Amino acid sequence: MATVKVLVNFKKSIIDVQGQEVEKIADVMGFKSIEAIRIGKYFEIDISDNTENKEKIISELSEKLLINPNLEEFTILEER
Amino acid sequence: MKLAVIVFPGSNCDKDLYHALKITTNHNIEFVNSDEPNLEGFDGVFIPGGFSYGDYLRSGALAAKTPITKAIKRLADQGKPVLGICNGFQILTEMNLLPGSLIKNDSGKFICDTPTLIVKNNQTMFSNEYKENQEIRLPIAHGEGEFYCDLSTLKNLRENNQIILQYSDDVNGSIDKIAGITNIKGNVMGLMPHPERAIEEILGSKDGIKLFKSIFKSSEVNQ
Repeated sequence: MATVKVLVNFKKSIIDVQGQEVEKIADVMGFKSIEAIRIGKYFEIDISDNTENKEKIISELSEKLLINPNLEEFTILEER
Repeated sequence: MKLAVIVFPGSNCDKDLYHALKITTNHNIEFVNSDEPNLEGFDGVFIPGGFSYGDYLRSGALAAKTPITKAIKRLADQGKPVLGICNGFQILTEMNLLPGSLIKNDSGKFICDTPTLIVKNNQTMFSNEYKENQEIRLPIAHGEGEFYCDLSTLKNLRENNQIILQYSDDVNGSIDKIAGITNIKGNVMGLMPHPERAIEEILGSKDGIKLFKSIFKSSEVNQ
């Protein structure tokens, strides 16, 4: 079995309201050097070792389910 | 005519919607579970509000992949009315039956209110009982109701008169103050406000009745 990690983030054109609120509180707490915080999603996906085209399958899964292509983009981090 | 109210795990406005249909039409109404792959014999689909699948992943994302959605798409292709309210609207955008997306309100707050809305297009099967530019009041209750789309999609929505309801004031950051749209054919509508919660005087508004009445008037004309 291999584990593939996928990160999902809002596209730059989308305002991340949650991230903005976290940044505001970080500022209140005194983290003055923090300029912006964006929140994404992290997935760990187990896929059977004898699968061909693992990356292609994970890409397809990401495009069809893990992201909303209007709003988000994904990065496949690593396979281990 | 037989109408389906779809029930997903986490739907919580299904009974209100059933009640609203019950008092606005004599047609048969049935709850249909989202595991059901078939909607044969049904003439209209109503997708209620709530938190389907706990809003996991994205609101509406998991519901949009359940077996019932293929059946809903088939009915939509046949020109039958499909209405999604609140989470139902989010599900319809995730199904790509409606353009755009619903994202977190720009204020970051969950909003419960009864804002004034403007009926921008009264020439659809969901709005023909209203007057053009009529001001109505319908309750809203959502954390992710900001309608977002890119500018070319917005242009299309405007040019094809797909914007049915607009907020009279900016309540949640929605582009063009959009509260409800239809597909290009005009038989699939999604809206964030809750017409099913505005059907009796005691609820504070009866302005939702005409939305349901519009559907049944048009469907009867079509039959």
